[in-house]
Amino acid sequence: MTPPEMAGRSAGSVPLSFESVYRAHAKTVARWAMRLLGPSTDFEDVVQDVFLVVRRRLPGFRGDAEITTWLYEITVRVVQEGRRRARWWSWLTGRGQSPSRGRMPAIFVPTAETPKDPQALLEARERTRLLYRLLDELDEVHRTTFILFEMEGLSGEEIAAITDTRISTVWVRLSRARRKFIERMRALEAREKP
Amino acid sequence: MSQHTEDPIPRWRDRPRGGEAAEDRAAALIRGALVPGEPDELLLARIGQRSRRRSRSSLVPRLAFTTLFLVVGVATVLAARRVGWLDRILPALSPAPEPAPLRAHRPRHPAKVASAAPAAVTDVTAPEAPEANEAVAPPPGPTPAVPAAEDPRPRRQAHASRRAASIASPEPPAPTLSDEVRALDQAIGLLRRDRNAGAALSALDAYLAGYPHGVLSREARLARVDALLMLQRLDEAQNALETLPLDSHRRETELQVIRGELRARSNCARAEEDYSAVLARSSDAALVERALYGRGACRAKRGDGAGAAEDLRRYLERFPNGAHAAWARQWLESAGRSFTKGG
Repeated sequence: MTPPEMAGRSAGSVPLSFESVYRAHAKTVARWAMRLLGPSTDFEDVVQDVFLVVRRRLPGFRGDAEITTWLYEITVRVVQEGRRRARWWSWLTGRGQSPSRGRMPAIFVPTAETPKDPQALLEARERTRLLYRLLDELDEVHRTTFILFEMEGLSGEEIAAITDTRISTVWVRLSRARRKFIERMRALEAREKP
Repeated sequence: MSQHTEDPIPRWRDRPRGGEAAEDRAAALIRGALVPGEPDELLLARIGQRSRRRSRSSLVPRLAFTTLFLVVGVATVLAARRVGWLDRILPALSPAPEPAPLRAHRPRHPAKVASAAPAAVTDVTAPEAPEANEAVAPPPGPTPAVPAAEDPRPRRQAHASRRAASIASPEPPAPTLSDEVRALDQAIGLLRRDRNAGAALSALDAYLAGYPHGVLSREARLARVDALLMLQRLDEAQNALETLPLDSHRRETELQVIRGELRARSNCARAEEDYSAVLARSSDAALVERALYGRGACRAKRGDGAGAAEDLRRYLERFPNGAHAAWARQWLESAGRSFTKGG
């Protein structure tokens, strides 16, 4: 039986091994997972789950899509599934929080534009929490589309390929996600006004 | 993955800074948030190590969940059996006996009905015409039951008889609900599936003897009425119905129509009570048709020409092609003419 490490093929028909895929893409997948999850410490589990899927499906990967698109698709699915499971578990047990309201992992860093003083860092953290709090109120598909387009900067075509849908659907989802995001933001601002 | 900026929809974060619109505030929120940094090599090595193992982490919870669901499922079924819940829902799950195929006979030609002997039970209890309307044929009374043809095939009969015999001479019945349900189910099976009213009647009688106060005895008595109707034993069917409380039964209205049709053979006044009750509350077209015709016929028989004319007119308005439409028209044209509006 062909070992999975040797079975996958890249777009150029070069055999892909699990090790090579992991070495080349683990960091990227971890960053995607963090971006999709938000401030959560669960990204390690997500990365592990993604590569468990990769290990299982690599023999069937024929290079029809770019490896990065394929990995992104798996990451998105694993994150969505994990969030649904977490939400279900939270509802079932009556405790726990929404997945992106946990402790802010130290791995989240300020952008180049953020001032380097502690006050600015604190504000950036609060802004991050607020952003993901608003995103958590969107449906899973809307949330994913919003993050991929607005925060990751992917194109509509790429999002369509990753989420296995048509590009027109991507725009519809984005439009709804934006509308809902604004509604939630306004509601939150109205609540916090003195 | 490459980053594109050629999408037809511009990104919020590319909006000019300093705006006050909600979209500008959202853009500022996105721009000012922290971004994921580079995970360190040690962490990635640890995750990679775990990923290289067999998918124990996903297999174990799945097995645990499956086992848990199986245990909970089995425990639920056992508990349900223990408290008798399954026995209670079994009658609801088993196919309900369909209503007996009761249909009113098509009215005969009035002239023939006039000369027909009204007393014959199987010949329909044609209410006699009121004396004032001697010339008019009396309305044919509703026929309470038309039995479905029984299967003449001997093998099937023999099988049914064996089943009936096994039910008719049961071993001393254990006082459990499931036994009772099984016995009644077999009897109703003879009636509904095998269409063997005789065997079903024996089985039902055996059941009622074995469980005279069983929780399903009312169902058994109603099934017995169906069997008697199929056998054209109308007097017995009527007697059985007279002693049965019909209220709150799912077939209450239908049974009341049947009882009215049976009563109409000898007592039109009481039949009218049933028909009126049905007409007051039912919207089922088939039952309304039978009740409306039956009451009209009974009123004609009792000499209430105006009432009969009203009922038959309503009948024709609602069921112009009904089974009794021809007779109703004929009666209205002759005897009922004096009672019709402006007639």
